[in-house]
Amino acid sequence: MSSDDLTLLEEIVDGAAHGLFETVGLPLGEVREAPGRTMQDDDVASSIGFTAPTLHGAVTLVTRRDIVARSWPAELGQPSDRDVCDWAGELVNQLLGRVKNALVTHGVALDQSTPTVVVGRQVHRSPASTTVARTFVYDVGGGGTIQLYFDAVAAEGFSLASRAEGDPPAAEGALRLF
Amino acid sequence: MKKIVVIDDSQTIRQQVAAALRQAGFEILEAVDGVDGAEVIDRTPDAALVICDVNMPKRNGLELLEGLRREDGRSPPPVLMLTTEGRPELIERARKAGAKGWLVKPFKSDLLLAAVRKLTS
Repeated sequence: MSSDDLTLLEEIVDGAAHGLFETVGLPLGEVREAPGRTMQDDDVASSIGFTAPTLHGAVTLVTRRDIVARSWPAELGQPSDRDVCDWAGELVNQLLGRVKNALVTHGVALDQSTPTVVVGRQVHRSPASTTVARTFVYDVGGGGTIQLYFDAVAAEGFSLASRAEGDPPAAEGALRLF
Repeated sequence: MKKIVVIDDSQTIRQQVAAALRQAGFEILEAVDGVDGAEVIDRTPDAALVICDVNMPKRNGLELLEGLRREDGRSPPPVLMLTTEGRPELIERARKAGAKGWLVKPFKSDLLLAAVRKLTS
């Protein structure tokens, strides 16, 4: 993967994260690369896989359940622990959805798995062995962070088109009636 | 009271949809995946609308939609797809399979309600 493509991919993933968490009322603070970050008190991780002929991997969010709860839809009242876990899975699902829709405009169409959520103590992602392994750490206030891992293997010759042909994808929140 | 079948593997999304539509006077029946969704639709012949996710365990929403169309006998209820997917080819596949609409998550409740009212009128 070329450095230009890697930069573009990073921008897409980072932009997707900012867009999603802004929408759910949890704006993200400064992004810091933190490969040597120590374990803290994170207790939930949600992950979702993706695949395409030229790119496959996973997106993973790691944070604390109380932070996930802060982004829970307010109209639904106080979330249970089960609600928080389900929402953690939906967040990573919607995050990947944004990444997918952005990549479509660059000629890459990803298929995806359904999300998996893990809870525990000091949850952390072990070092990735994929060719693309990017870590984003976002400040969400109150001493909390959300870590986003984008791990992927790109096929030889993988490239992102500057602009794909065809119709653009439907944007988040868009409605089309037939 | 019009019945709406909501099929999504996320409990949160089902709750969000149900909360928005119950306030507007709709009765909500929930299903957790594509197989469960087909069963709920099958036993709810008077459903006014189905709201269906795409990426789900067991059977995805597009397969469910295409299966509904293949059934003969009675007409299936209208289907509104509610998903993170925005790819034009998937939207076109749904349209060809008989879907009446496509809404990309995250959704605004008022937009969902407007679509539901239009599709159930």
